[in-house]
Amino acid sequence: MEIFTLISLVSSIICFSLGNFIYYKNPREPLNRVFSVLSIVLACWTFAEFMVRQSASQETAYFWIKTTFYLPFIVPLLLHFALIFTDSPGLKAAWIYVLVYTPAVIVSFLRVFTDLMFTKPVLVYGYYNLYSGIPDPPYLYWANAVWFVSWGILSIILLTRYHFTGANEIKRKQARLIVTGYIICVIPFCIEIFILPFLNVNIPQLDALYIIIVMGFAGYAVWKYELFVFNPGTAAEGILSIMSDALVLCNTKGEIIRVNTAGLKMLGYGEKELAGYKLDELFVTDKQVDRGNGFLFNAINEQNYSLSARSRSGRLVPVIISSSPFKDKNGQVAGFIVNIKDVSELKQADEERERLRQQLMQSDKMAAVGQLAGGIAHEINNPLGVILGFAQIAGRNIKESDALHMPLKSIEREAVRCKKLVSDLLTFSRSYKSAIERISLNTAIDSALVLVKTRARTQNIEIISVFDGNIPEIMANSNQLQQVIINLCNNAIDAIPDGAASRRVTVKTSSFVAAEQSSAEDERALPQQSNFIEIFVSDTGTGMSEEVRKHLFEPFFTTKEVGKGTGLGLSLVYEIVKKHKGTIEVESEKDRGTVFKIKLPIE
Amino acid sequence: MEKNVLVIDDEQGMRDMFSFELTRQGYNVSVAAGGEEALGLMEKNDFDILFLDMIMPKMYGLEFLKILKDKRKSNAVIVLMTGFCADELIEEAKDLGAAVCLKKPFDIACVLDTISKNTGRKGKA
Repeated sequence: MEIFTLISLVSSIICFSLGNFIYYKNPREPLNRVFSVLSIVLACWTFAEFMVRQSASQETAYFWIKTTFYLPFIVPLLLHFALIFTDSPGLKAAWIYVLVYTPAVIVSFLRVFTDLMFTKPVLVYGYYNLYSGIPDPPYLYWANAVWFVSWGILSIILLTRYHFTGANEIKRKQARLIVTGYIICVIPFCIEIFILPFLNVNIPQLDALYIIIVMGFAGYAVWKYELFVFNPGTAAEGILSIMSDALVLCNTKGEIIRVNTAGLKMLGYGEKELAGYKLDELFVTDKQVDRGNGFLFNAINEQNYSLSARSRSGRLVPVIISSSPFKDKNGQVAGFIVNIKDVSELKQADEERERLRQQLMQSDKMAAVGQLAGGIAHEINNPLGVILGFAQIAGRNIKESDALHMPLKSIEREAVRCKKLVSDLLTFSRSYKSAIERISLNTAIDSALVLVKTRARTQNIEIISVFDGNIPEIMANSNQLQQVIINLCNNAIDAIPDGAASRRVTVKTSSFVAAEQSSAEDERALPQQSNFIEIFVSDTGTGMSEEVRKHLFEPFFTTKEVGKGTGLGLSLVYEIVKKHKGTIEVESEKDRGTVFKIKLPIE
Repeated sequence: MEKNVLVIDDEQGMRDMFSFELTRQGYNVSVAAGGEEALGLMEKNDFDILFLDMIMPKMYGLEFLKILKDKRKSNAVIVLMTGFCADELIEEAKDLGAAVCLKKPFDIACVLDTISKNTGRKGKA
């Protein structure tokens, strides 16, 4: 048997065996299936080539060439294989398959039913060849060749890109081997098809040899890296790359060997940047650390060791780490696996819980005061009415020079003070009942400011209103919101000392749209679309201490001198804002002033 | 002609205060500690103005107003007085014929002012 005929036969047997072997290793894996189909097609082709070369007559050779209708599917199968191997997202779309396979269907049809794709076989070197020259007209032949080569190059590009950027290291090494096989195949094939015919050089066709080379590389990849099968190594690799916790492998000196995908993402590093880093350099803690041994040993001794990881951008991520040693074949400790868990969400949730607890405590107090107020108001107002009434009656009938005038006026004044306290308490308790209607906030605030301005003028304080004309109407209790503005402005006026150079209270409204969070940095924020109206009341007053700020909204808490404030103004503000499902925040700087920010939902 | 004033309040102090000052101002003042007593007085006398407490034992101000409205007897101006009362109840009272609502504790000047405005007569002082 002639040597090239023999090569065809050997190639066919290799392809057939390899295809079956790979298929039965894991028939469910799409990659294995495509590879097996490809192997069988190649086996058929090389067998057909063997038969062509064996043929005694042109008719027999021609018959065997006609049987190779599957030949055009080789390159699409290679491309399909590359797409699966590189986890290409395009595979989910049906049109990708249409695009990949349609040219093959057309060419296959032309091969079987016409003679446009090849010429009749002729005897060269004593045997018939699959290709015996360029058919006439040559356009389809060349189009087919160009398509064949371009699909092959596309496959090589996909696999090469995966080799450089892929997530799975073992697969990247496999990709290198397969690409090498592809290139070894494609380059001589191009030379054979595109160059040699123009140089009028005839050599025996070596397609079968190329196929042996590709399959050889694939076989080597199987043998070396257990390609296309699920084994503990690839499983571990897969688990490492998909797990959400960051994992760092380091040697016994605490130097980083490997960081998984989640770890790189958390810390913002590229894959190779961390290699050789000391593990200690990644973490920051204010706890006592044994510097000689480093965090690693803390993490081993104290599982769930809590500290902060420093990202590439310098941002500190709160994490807990645990570590355990791993051993080599001889049972010696070869290094450590460090698990890093990002707890920033947990931390945020803790803070939020604490905030809600505080809020709940606050609203419990509010409810208690409200009930108390309603209960005592009636009982107090009646006797108070009598005291105030008689004091006034008596006062009106006594001359200022009379010795009893001053005591009577004092009774009246103190009764008025009590009246104010009870009145505040009542307003407070009434905030539980409210008539909600659609109102224009700007108009409501504007009419409240009329009252405020009268008082401000006497103290030479300017009230500035900056209204956003575009804010929509909201469902609210107008009187209550006016009460809020009046209380805040009164406090603001009281906060501006007599000698202050800047004497301004600013009331500002604006609408606020919380855009949907999308950046990776803000992933933790709740993705929601919210619309609010914001009200700012700011002053140029004395500001307040942190201690005052803490108790600001507590009922009966006041910094004003005795008789000037009941300590209910801001509690009431808080209560009203809460009733409107809004929030209130305070920012204050000593001697610079205070800003109250109220956010009310639009619906 | 002297105006007749009726004060209906369960609080002794309130009744005393009204009687003391309004008598001094030259009004004819009658007092009642509850609704029934007041209705009894109204059977015998015509009043120009009534000061009615909203919350009293036995008969609430509102009940009193309803009875009065059903009888359609009195033309007296009704002034409501309340120490603590829901706004809706005050609105209801106004629907039943109350003209004014004074919130306790009120200034005595305010009481005198209300009388003079609603009866067209000024007090002495």
